[in-house]
Amino acid sequence: MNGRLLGGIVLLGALIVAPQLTSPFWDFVLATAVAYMIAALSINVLLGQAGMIGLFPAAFLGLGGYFAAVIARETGSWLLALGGATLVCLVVGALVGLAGTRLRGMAFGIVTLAFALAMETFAFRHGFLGIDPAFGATLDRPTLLGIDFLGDVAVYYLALAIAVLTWAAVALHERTRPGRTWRALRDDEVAAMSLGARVGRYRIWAAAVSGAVGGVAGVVFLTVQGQTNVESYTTVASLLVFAAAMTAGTRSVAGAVLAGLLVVALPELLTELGISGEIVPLLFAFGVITSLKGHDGIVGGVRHGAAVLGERLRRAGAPGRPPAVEGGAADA
Amino acid sequence: MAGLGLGAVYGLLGLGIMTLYRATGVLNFAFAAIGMLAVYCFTSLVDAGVPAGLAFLAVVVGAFPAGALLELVVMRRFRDEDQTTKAVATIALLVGAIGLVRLIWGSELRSIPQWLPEWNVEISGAVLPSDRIVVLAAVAVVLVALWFLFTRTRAGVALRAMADDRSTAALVGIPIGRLTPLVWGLSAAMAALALVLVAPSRGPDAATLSLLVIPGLAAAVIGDLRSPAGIVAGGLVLGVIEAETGLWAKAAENALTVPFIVLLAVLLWRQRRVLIPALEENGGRA
Repeated sequence: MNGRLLGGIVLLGALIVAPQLTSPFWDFVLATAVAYMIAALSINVLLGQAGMIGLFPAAFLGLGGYFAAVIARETGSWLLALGGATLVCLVVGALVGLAGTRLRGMAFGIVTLAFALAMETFAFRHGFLGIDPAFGATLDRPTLLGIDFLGDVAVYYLALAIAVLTWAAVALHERTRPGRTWRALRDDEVAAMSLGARVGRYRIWAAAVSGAVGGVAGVVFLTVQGQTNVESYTTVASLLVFAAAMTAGTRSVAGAVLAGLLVVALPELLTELGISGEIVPLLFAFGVITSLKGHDGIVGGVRHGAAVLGERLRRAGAPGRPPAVEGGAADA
Repeated sequence: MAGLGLGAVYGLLGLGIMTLYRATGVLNFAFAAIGMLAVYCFTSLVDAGVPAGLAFLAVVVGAFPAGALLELVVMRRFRDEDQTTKAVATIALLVGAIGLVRLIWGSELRSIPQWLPEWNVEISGAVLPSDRIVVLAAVAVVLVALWFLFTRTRAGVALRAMADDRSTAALVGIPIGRLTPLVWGLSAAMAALALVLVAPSRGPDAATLSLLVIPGLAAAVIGDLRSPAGIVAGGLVLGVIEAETGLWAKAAENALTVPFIVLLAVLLWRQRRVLIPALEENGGRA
């Protein structure tokens, strides 16, 4: 537990100092990456916590952004846009989750993939909410509490603050009754049912929360970008975010952070190194295959490695230390 | 009857998805993506001056060893996993295939040669363009071939036994290890056939072509993933609904939401019958 807390503090510290260490170009990249970290968190909620396969993160990225753009246009309030868009995505997530009460495993996966394609063609490519697909949705960076978040560094910290709040909410929720029920469903649905868990309700709630988190990601994404392109909201974009989340690990916040960096920063990094960023989907494909056969993504692999190493060190002669346990009760 | 050609392709996709699913338990999300790779190879061959008919034959035949290789290199390690894990592995293949195309061919659009003969047939007033007839004929041929394979050959019966119960099939001496890559090869060839037929009317975009798996899955689910006739009928109905929606001006842009609505309706209607029994056998793990 202490190790995890320490890890969390180090991770947060690294995210806070990151813009100070890099060039201005990277401020923008990192701010975009934070939006995708939240999007990956929506996969963590659904897959990592509740064990449901949702292939629609980019659809909620788009829905959140579109509704935020409309609400901000009508009311002029960015906070209202954030709240309203999150609420809309919560409701849409619940509606998709209704299908999840009847469909298990891959059947739900098929429906979510078809939902992503339907949103792409029905909404994002065709003037949904009066937003012209050729120009995309727009959202101005806000001024909150007298602080303006117009610069890339400022908007990075705004995004990071929202991300940390979302992570905290998700982490706290994981300890509540619904959070623990999700875990029971994920590990063994029949056992959970036989213990009296109302499976249907909790599955709807999981899709709703995942949708809301995805919506927050969409608002943050649009705030950072200012204006967006339909290409960010496509079905293929959904699959890429899903694959990145699985590659990085879906059972920890560190996994979500890494997934955001993989989606946004890795292609830029490769380009700077003179390698085509187009290789990234291939790496994700490899990552998913490896994750399915091994530990929970890169983060799970590193944790396992650390645990094994700790165990070896303990055996080698550091008596009195407790044995390392892999995949303990609190994945925080 | 606009949409019959498209519907026949959906049916063909559904048949390919069913064949693989029945024999190996893999619900292949990368099914259309495999065909999409064949389309890119086909276009490159034609650009290099190979006659279209020969190129078509080459990619359909060539897809067979490629599919078998995919099984041996990647999917083999998932043979004993549950169905959900297998399906997620194919999502990785889908992402990988799109990445591979962008890496090799770049993201610029390429024109796909219109290679099917162009003449019209008039049947009691309705005009049917020849390319649709070719597609419909291809579906008929595949149907007959599948029927023959699964009912009249030893390999086909072995495959059905494998689909019903892998461990019992293994116990009676069916060489599961050798048959699995063959089924992958067969389904890859079907994917190549379907996609090369549909590509001229659907455009050369890797994502668009790969996502044809969604209407294909819809057709397969309509046929309960076991009835070839149901799957072809489902595909035809989907294609016609989609084309009719496209004709209705206000909804034209939303034709691609049809598979979503149909999928949702059919899956919910069938509830736990499709896909689920096998899932429950392994402890209901989702």
